[in-house]
Amino acid sequence: MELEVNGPKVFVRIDELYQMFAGTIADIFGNFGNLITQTTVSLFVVTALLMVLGYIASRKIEKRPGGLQVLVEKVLNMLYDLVEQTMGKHNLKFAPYIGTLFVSCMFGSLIGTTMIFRSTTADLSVTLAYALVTSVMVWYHNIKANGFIGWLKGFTEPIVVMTPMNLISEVAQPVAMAFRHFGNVAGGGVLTSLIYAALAVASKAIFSWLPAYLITFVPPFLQVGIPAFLSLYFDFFSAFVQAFVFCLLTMVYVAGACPPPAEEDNANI
Amino acid sequence: MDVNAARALGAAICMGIGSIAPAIGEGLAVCKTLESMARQPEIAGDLRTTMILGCAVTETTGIYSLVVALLLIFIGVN
Amino acid sequence: MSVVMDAFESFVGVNVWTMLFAWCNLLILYLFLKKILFKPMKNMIDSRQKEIDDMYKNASDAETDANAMKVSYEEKLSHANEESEEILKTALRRAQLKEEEIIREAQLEASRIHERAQEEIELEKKHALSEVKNEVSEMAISIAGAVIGREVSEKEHAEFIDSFIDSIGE
Repeated sequence: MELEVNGPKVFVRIDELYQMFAGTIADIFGNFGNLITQTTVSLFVVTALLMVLGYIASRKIEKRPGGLQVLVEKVLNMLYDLVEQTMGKHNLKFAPYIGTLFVSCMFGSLIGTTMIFRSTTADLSVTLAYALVTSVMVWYHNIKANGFIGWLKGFTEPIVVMTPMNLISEVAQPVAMAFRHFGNVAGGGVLTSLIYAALAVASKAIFSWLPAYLITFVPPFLQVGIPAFLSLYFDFFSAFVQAFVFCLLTMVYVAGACPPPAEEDNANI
Repeated sequence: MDVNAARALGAAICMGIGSIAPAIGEGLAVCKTLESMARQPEIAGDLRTTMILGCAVTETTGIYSLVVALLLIFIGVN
Repeated sequence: MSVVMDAFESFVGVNVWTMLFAWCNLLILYLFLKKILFKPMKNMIDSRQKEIDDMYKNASDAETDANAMKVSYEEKLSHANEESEEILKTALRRAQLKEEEIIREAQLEASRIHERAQEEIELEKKHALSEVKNEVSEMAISIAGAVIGREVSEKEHAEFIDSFIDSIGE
């Protein structure tokens, strides 16, 4: 079975930086010289596609909506309802960011099904970047609400001995989010290519009664319909659910750091 | 033992043991969801959504073990 | 910088350049979508909702006003009914009073006429009596004259007849 699972292919590399860090840092943390990879190209393609779709959806805004505007308004209302349900009415300003994050993650995972580009979220760097944005937002709102000392003191609650666990869980939040998203999408991609390779071998093995030199001409016909069903789960459903879970966890974490303003008034009274 | 053999063995054991717990946990979650749906069918939509979310979060450790197994097979130990 | 062929990154790895590109793309997409899609759509949804709320409020206000006017009109109507009843009653009473007055006056008039008639009858009776007295006296005179055969003076006759009639008349 011929299967190669590799990371994204590198297109442009800065040789000086590559040589500087070549042997020193472990393979996991990448070589700082790889400037443009397959993932970068996919990122630009996804962003361009989303900008075109957003422009098409926002044309012709009228009071009495026509067909496309009704659909767009329905989707936007679902988004606003979700944000209001999870974060409360006073946090409705986060809704555009959550919408952007959701379509970025979903289209980034879905663009791998066209075998031309590699999924953006199948690269740990991308999901880690998105998760770090969430973490920075949470820390920023915490510091804005409680002050820097108040934020640091929040780690010692409820008991001082819990501080290392609080610190670890604070670091583990973005790492877990990134790994969950990356593992689901990348693992799904690996499993899909495994299935393709297995079906190629199987379609050649059916004709094993032929002489050896004819078998090489057998096309992998079993690859035609079956992976499509599996791709429905691994690619479409998994991409949607993982993007949704990512956004929901972001909303919950940020809502935890932004309490409703009415509570402060009650506390002052 | 050959390095490749050890890698294959390690990957297999990792994935095998690592898939027990998420499956049991998700099965329990679905069981409770079905009971609640039978008790109160009108909120079945909310229950379904929350169940999918809970399963996605619970599956995290299973995904961790999948990633470790893939790492072992395809990238390997130096 | 060089273009490389067939160099793959590690499957699980963190590349800082890719993270940078991911952040830039997210920021660009966020700003673009917020300006082009989210803001105008939210404004449109809010303004339409406000219009609908205003329409509903106006409709409910108009309904309240209509109900209040209806109540006041009904009050006025019931008052009108009472007033008309009052007017009718007063008119009836006045008519009754007038009726009684007219009847009384008529009765008075009738009794007066009755009295006057009685007086006239008395007068006529006296007149007739005096006429009869005169005629009877003349007749008696003539008869007596015829009987007696002599003409007596009229004055003696008159005295004689008067005393005769008075004795009859009593």
